[in-house]
Amino acid sequence: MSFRQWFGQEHVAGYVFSLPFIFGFLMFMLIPMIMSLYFSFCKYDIQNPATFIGLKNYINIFHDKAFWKALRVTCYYALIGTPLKVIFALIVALILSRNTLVTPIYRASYYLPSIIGGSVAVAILWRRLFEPTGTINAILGIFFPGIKNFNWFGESTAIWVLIILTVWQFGSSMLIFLSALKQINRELYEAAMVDGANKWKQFWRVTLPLLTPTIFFNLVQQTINSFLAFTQSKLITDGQPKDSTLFYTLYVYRKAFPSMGKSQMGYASALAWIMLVIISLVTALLFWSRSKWVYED
Amino acid sequence: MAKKKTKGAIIYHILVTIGAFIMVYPLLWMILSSFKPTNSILPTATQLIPTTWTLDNYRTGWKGFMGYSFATFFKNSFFISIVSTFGTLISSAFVAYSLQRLQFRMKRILFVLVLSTMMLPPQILMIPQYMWFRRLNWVGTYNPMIVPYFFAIQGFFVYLIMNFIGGVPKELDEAAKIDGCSYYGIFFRIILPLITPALVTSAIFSFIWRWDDYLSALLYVTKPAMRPISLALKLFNDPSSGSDIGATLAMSTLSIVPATILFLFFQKSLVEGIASSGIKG
Amino acid sequence: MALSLLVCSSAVVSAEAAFDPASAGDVAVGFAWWGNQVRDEVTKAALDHFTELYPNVTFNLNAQTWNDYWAQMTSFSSSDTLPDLMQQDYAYFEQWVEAGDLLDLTPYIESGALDLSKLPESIVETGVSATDGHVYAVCAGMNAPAFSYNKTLTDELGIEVPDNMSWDQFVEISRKIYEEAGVGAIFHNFNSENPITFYARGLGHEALFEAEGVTVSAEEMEGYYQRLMDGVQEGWLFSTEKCASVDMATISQHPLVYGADPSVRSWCAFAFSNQYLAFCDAAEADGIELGITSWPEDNAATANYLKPSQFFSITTDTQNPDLAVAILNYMINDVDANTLLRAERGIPANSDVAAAIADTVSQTDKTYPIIVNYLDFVADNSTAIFPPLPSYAGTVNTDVIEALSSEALDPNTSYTAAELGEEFVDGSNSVAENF
Repeated sequence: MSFRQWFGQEHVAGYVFSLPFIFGFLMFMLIPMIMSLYFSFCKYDIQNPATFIGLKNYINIFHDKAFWKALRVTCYYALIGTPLKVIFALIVALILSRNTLVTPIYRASYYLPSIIGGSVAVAILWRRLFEPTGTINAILGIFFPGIKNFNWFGESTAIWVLIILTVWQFGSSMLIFLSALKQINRELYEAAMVDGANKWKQFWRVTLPLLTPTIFFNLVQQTINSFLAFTQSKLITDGQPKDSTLFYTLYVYRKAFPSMGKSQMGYASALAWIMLVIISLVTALLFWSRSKWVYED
Repeated sequence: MAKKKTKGAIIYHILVTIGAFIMVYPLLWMILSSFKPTNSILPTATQLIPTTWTLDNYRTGWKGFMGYSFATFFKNSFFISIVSTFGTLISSAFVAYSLQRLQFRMKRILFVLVLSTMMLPPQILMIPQYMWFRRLNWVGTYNPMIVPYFFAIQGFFVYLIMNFIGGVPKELDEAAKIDGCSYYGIFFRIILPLITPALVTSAIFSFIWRWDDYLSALLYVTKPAMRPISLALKLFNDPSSGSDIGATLAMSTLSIVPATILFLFFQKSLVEGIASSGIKG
Repeated sequence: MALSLLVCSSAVVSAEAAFDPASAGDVAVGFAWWGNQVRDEVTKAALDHFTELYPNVTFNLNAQTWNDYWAQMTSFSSSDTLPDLMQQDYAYFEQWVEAGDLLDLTPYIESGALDLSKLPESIVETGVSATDGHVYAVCAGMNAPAFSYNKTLTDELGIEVPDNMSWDQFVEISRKIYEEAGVGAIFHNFNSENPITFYARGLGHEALFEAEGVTVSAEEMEGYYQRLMDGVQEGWLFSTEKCASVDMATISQHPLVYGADPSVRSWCAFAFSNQYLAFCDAAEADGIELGITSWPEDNAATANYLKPSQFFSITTDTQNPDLAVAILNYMINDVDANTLLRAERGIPANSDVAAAIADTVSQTDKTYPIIVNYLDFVADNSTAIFPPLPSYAGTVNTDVIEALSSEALDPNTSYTAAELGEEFVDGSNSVAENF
């Protein structure tokens, strides 16, 4: 077999194309991952060498009230925020897929809020919007006069301030939907029209099935993102009040880099690996459900 | 009939405009507040339009830190974001093609690993990565913020592009193969041109994420002259010693300009994409 | 140890003779701190001036915000890449000494290369590590707990806020303000050991933390939590949820100086003297005038203390310890340097320098004389500061104090003050034990 022939084989091409990732993963991810896995079995404050303590971190985590609280908060946020965000993104993408003269401006205005992401500016603004004397209460006060000075940052509602923020920043999912919509072949619609399908039927028969892979993608990606959400909680509520907005990753970060005192990097690494297992399970569940509702040709 | 259509169109535009206003209100707030005197931003937070307009925030903000103005930080951010985005796009497209289209033994495990790179909190890899890059003598250079991206280490982009390659009809591959095209040829001649929308989308995301990334800059940038914008923006606000909200908002406003332009510039290719190429499905 | 402004500046002597920075060759020295734009500017100016004097010495400056600074420095510490000089914090420098990251300065003080003779003994001692009694850090500026309050409001209501007020006096004033103006009072950040330390010192303990655990008893802590619970029940003290609705961590948005409605305002802030300037700036925007006095506590004069607002330390990663010491000496003792530094880090500990720069600094910062005055008052109404915190203390803050304060300030809590007191002592001691 000549080199050319060998090189042209499907499995060889497969390795050649995935070579960047194989190399990058080994070089930049695997080594740090193994190190952090090792740290998770250690008492490690970064400044002094790590000492091996076996499963102690994992056992302590099991008895850690804040861990369970953070886990509950994060699951709540992920399970409510993610579907809302994806549905919202899909609806807006469908609305904006209609081409008119001003559509580019619309798209920009719906997408741009996502650009400012987790910046300090958003943190300042979000507090201003939701504070007792803020804009939201001022507007709601017109319709519900009883709402004066309602405290959105109370224990039961503070998490919703963050959920609303994540739903508001649906832009990236919307963009993915928009480009997926553009990928759908026009002729399929034409064929459906010939069959006498109206717009509504076209949507259910053509658009939605062909979008299911993209819906699935956004769902997976946003779920992982919500489980790892960090900046919003850190900048806006800092976990307050009473840990009701303590995102899991924020808790990990606080253990790894506390604003005062010694790092508990070992404990933090153990927390992170537990999160990895949880996310893997959720993702696996999503992939298992994939064959049930995702259209594939 | 025509009348009904116009009526529908008007309602459509009114609703979409209202929605758009709600969406951009916070952005408008940020931009307009940046023109208020810094002391009056918080007290007049519920008022959108400034009573007195001023450019002071832009002046004090642009001055930057320790002798380096935001011109330097912009330059640095552009360099990092553009180069690493370029790397992300090529490498991710390569890997995505192999994982979506080609059959080989390690495919499944590689896909799982790709996903796993999305799942560990980046904050936890900071220290081990730092130790490793220190071994490589990369601390104090842009390498840690650029080189890894040439090796598709962000599972998100691989998975995103895979998803789009999945939308390209397989018949096209088959036809090309019959015409004597190699797997390499299929990628460059068939797949790559057809996934432009995915690449554009990825480019926008990658650019913005690299632009906003400050965790790695915090560790690997050791000189003020090398700071990117993301890191510089944080320096206006130290809760313990006081903060300049006006300068923060002014520089935040400037810092989203490149991404905005990028989006507006490329959204045309988002719209066109495969639809205009007229292949059979 | 009065900080008199009358001492003439001619007494400042240069001890740089011990090592001539010009002989160090061309070097770049790393210097890192946390802060803000103003601090960055003044520090750079002072170090630029050093470069003017010794063109062979240049600086790699590195400034971050508080949180990022520590994340960054701990990371650097993992690979021995710390800058030559770093800003340190009083409460937590002991763990850096224990980790072997800070250079022992005692030999340099003995050789005269580092001149601390113009610093009050008590302030030099704050840089002494408990591990070996050596100096590892030098005070960059003086600081003290400072109760800032809305003077415009108290004047309006005809209320006199006395110095060294007791807790009961504070309660009475707070009640009156709440009843007449609807303005409440906000206590400390949740994760801070400061209020409990202050309370413990008022009871006669020198410190809150000891090597093995906390000094206070469960009964004593019951008293502390009972105060908070009473305040919340009566309505004038900010509850946990109300605290969450405001941003007390950012000075410009602190309810003392920001908020459109009396219901979200506080008449006071439990702050430190080096934050007073920022509070005054925010107050000006808000159209109110502030006053400054000691934190309320029974036996406030025993509880109060002078502390270094920040330290400068030299790290063991430095390649040029002699040069680093010369730079440190310059930052502490040089009048020109401190004129450029504008007392941004607090009043200079070198009393001669503090006096020499008073006129220049007062021109740009009108709070400077007020703070000097207040620190003079504290000097006469305080006891020596508690020793640096043991390394487990930070974890008590985040793991114990935060949760218990949130409970105490929650009107619907299921805990009693006695339970909280017990939980505090048990929780803190078990953190100490397992560390």
